[in-house]
Amino acid sequence: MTKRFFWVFSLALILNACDSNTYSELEPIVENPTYNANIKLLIDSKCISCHKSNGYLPLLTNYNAVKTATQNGNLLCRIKGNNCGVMPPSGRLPQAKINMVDLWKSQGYIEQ
Amino acid sequence: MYAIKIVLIAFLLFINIKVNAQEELMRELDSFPTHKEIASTAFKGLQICNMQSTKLAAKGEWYFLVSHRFGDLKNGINTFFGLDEALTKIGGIYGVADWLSFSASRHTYQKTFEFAMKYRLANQQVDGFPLTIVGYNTLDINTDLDKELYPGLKFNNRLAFSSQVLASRKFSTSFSAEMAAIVIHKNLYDDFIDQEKLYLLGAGTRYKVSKRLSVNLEYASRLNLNGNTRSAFRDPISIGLDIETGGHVFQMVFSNTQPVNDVALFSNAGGNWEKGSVYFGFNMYRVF
Repeated sequence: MTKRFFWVFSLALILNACDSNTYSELEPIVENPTYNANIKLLIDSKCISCHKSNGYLPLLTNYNAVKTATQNGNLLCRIKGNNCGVMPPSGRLPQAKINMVDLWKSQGYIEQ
Repeated sequence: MYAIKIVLIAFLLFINIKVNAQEELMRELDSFPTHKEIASTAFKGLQICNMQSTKLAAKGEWYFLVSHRFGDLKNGINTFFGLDEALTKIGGIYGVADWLSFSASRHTYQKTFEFAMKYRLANQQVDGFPLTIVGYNTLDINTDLDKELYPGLKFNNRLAFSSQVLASRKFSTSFSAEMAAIVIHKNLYDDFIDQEKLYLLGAGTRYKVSKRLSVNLEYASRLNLNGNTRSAFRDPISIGLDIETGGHVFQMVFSNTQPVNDVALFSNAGGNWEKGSVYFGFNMYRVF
């Protein structure tokens, strides 16, 4: 019985001793996000599997569509999940990515 | 909220008094007190609501588990009370021995694979040792992370862990309570709103209303919050209803946390009871 205690607690200790990273360490914060370099990558990875033609609205397939959804639609509200249901459904994006979209908006939706 | 904390602390003190003779426990465990009868399990389900109970699968038993959580009720008819934003976990549990079981599951939240191990360290006995003590460890693999988005991503970053010690006592045929000490560790965390390590103290109770029905409550208090996490997430509070339907236990749950993998449910409860931001869902267990 004492043995059982021993290996169980050793295992628990090992599992909790790993090194941690933050999202910012995996990708430095982008100062001047553009659609082609930053936003498109995020949309393609997280949104477009549903938000494409024959999928859910709004379409997020190109620059104009994403710009319209951010400017006139509720894209920002949805990814922030404040008062809208949160998107994407697999879980809220890291805050750094949300801030990046915010910054892209405030800098005037730069494409290139 | 204050009242809950007081109840929690009172219960903790009670447990401290009961178990302060640690040597007594070791003596009892080593000397095989065959005359002592093991009390029947404190909880009917393997979970209280979201939290694990001290019940384990028996040796050779297979459990099939489906946990489903709808989206935020606050959004009302627009999402049909969360129907459109549901999360599902599907998995299995196998009892290797009466005191040890393993489980594996897949959750839509962060496309998580969760592997867990549950082991009983001590049993509550009739006129003997007062508590059932169970350990629970989970390992989460986040498969939603995209190497294209995060060029520095290593496999190690996908992992997150929870380690829990659960102590329960069946006070009467209708009332049981549990205390839990929980550590959450994330190999990758959001530095704006989250932290690497989180310690929690949890409590859960079950009150049997009728033969097939019981009401469950649970709460966990986060102990080492930094400013970011304090405002972004809340202490998980859940209320549930066990319905026994011959062959499987059906649990209805209202909670301020939507994801049901242990790491996220304790550290990333995004809902808020005071603002009506609550998630409804159910756990369904089928035994084979």
